[in-house]
Amino acid sequence: MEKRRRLFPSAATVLVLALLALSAGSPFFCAPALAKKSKDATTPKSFLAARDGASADVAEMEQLAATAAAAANALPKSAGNLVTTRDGKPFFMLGVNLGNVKFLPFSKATQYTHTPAELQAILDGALRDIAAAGGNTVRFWLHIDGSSSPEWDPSTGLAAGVSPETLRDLKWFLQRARDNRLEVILSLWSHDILAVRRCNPPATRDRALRIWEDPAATDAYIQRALAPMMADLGASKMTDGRSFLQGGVFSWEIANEPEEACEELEFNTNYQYKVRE
Amino acid sequence: MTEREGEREREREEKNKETRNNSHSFSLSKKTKKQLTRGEYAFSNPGAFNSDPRRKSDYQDIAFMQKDMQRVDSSDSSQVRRRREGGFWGGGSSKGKKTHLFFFHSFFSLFKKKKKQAIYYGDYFLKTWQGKDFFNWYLYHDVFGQFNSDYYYLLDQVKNRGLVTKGIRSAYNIQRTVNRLAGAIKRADPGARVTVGSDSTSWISDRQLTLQPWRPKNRNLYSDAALVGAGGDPLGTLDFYQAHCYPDWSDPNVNEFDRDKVVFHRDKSYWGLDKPLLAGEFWDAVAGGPQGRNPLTPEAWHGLAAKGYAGGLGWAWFDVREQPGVALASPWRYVVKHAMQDHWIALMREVRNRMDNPAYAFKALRLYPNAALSGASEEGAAAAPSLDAALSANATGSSSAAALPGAPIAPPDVGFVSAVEDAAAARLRAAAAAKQAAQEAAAASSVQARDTRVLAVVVPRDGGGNEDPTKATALSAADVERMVAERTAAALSEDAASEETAAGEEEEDGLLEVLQAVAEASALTAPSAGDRAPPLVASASSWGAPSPRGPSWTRVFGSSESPVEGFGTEADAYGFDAEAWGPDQA
Repeated sequence: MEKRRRLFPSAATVLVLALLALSAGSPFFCAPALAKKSKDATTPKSFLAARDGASADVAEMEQLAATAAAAANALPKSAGNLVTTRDGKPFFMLGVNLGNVKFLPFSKATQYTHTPAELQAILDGALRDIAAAGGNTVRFWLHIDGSSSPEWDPSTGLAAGVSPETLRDLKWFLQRARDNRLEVILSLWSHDILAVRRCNPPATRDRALRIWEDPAATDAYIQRALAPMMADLGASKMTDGRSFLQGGVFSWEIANEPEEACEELEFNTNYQYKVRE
Repeated sequence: MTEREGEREREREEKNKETRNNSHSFSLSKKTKKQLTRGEYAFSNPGAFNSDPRRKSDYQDIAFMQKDMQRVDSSDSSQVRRRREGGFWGGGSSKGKKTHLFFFHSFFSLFKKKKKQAIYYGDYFLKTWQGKDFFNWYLYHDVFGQFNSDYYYLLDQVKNRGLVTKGIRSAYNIQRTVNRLAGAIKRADPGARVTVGSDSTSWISDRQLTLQPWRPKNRNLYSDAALVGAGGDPLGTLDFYQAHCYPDWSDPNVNEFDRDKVVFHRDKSYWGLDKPLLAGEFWDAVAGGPQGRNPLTPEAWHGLAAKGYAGGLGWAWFDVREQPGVALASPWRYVVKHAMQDHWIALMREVRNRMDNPAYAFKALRLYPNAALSGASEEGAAAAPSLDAALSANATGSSSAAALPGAPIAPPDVGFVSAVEDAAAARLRAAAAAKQAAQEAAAASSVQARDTRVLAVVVPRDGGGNEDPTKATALSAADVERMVAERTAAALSEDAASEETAAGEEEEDGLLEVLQAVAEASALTAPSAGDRAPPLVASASSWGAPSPRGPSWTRVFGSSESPVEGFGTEADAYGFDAEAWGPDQA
């Protein structure tokens, strides 16, 4: 009965709602969180120029140049329906996800009751077993929700870098995967940034979420964490002489199921709550 | 106690301290849990939520809130509601009585005025910071016992109470970030492959899969145009798509539309994609069947290849378990083997056997030879041509190659170290290599005819930084290809000269530098174009970034349905050319 009563708003509520509806043009409804962000702050100058029609040739030229450079750079990345390895061999990916377990860095994987050596042994056995079963690909997670890596600047809340421990352990993993002739799809982020987990306090979620919401945070992550990490991987050699970019990471995955963290797409399988504004 | 155990013990103690200091983590006594389930906790422990003295005056609000939420929460469960409130099936007034006069009590409970248990404060309390804290605490309580929360039933409750989920606000933000990160990755390593582990096929395809109008419209969020349009980085595109293919996503009633989202039932061409598609995650179950979950068979997994997918990865190898009985804020969590791990091993072995055994591939080819050989059109290809026709066509050798719409892609090494490296396979590769060489020679001879179109016009800038269209130089595609080839050769020779230098930096803006050099040179030599400036870019779309191997086949047969379970209609999924297999494979 109480529930039914609540379905019918009181007269006062109706009055208030009507007044609010009449004032729909007021800035009250232009809540900053719901208003669409201006693209101008996020898009590069050339793209804006192209959009505005001022000098469309510049942007198109850049795009052509980029396309041509990418095409001319290396072997084709795919052949028909298959993706090729860095050697240019198309192959059918057969394998297993290692799961969204925060392994890296081993020293920081304190949410699990394992020592770093135990974690290494767990991963070692997994790679060996998957290869023995005939798999050729594994999918592995790096940042997930950003609680273990990358490093964060506490004053600004922006990404500050990838720690040497993370790089060392990542390279250890990539080398072991190569030893087992496994290709690695390295997933950077995951919808887990919103998951309600006790090992994942809200501060962690907010700063990781900011990378997706704030262009400045995105750029900070790229410049301070992603680019240095890739430079390090490119400069480090595997045992076969190739760099870790050439022989270690088969494919980069920007995020695992980012749609599940998206309000617009109404997935909502992960929760972080805020008061409706 | 060994030294290592002592070390662990100290770690645990530290964790316990952290746990106690963490306001978002609790360990509850049995009594507390009981009080919480009854909604009495805040009454009997007025300071429980309030380490801050300012909050003590709010404990009543918390209690009301708790009561209220408990009531609404239980409304999800008809059993609990009946037991508490009474109703036709009993409960309520008869609670605690020895004699349960079933119909009597249930009938009269309909007319009994219920005692008001809590004051309804609306959403006011939740809008206070205490309310937010409390609500987060409450949700932790309800949800965090799980490693990952999928309690969709909480959502309506939350929304009704003035809270909304917080997350990435728009798909545009996803696209922008993906574009930026992908562009950064390809700048650091132009040969890198980039993908996104999309939740389902709904978000990598424009194909409409649902008739539920209240749901967001399916669309390909990660097409080149969408990504570059959102982030503005022309390099920030994907190299292959990835979709996760669970039979049902948190939906116990798998309907036809959900079934259609699962790749095991559809050819890759069904999604209308321009890039390879990886089935990035699936359980050992596919949609369909009485329970909505037919078991995943090796045939189905292997069939992904025949259906045109780039691969299939099972979920998952690891799982996380917690200490039993300490589900809340347990400091003891372990990485364990996933329940499906043994199953994955067995399935992968079977799939790998099929991959390594050419009999399986040939079986697929024999059932579905390619369209060029059989003459089957895109529309009328429901029936497979007879084996004799296919074999006689094969026997004619390479003469049928001319009928192919484009150059056949070379039969690739499938990536496995095949144990079946027999003479037939070697012949196959040799024939394919010869064919590819011929194709490349033909392509090279036709470069001139193909590339006379103006690809781009380089406009130099004067000292003031202004473009001078009168000094523009037209570049054909052949020019660009030649310059890129020269530059690549130069870079390769540089690399050969100094192997120790770190690769990657100088490749970054290769073509741009070429274009700039051309622009500088043309500033001196370009003739005046009169009062009408030439078009700055003739045709952006004329540059198709042609693959050195020529266009690949996309479809062999017209039917998107697989007539035989386990085998797709795209027989070229492995890249094997049916004609190259020859009749001696029978």
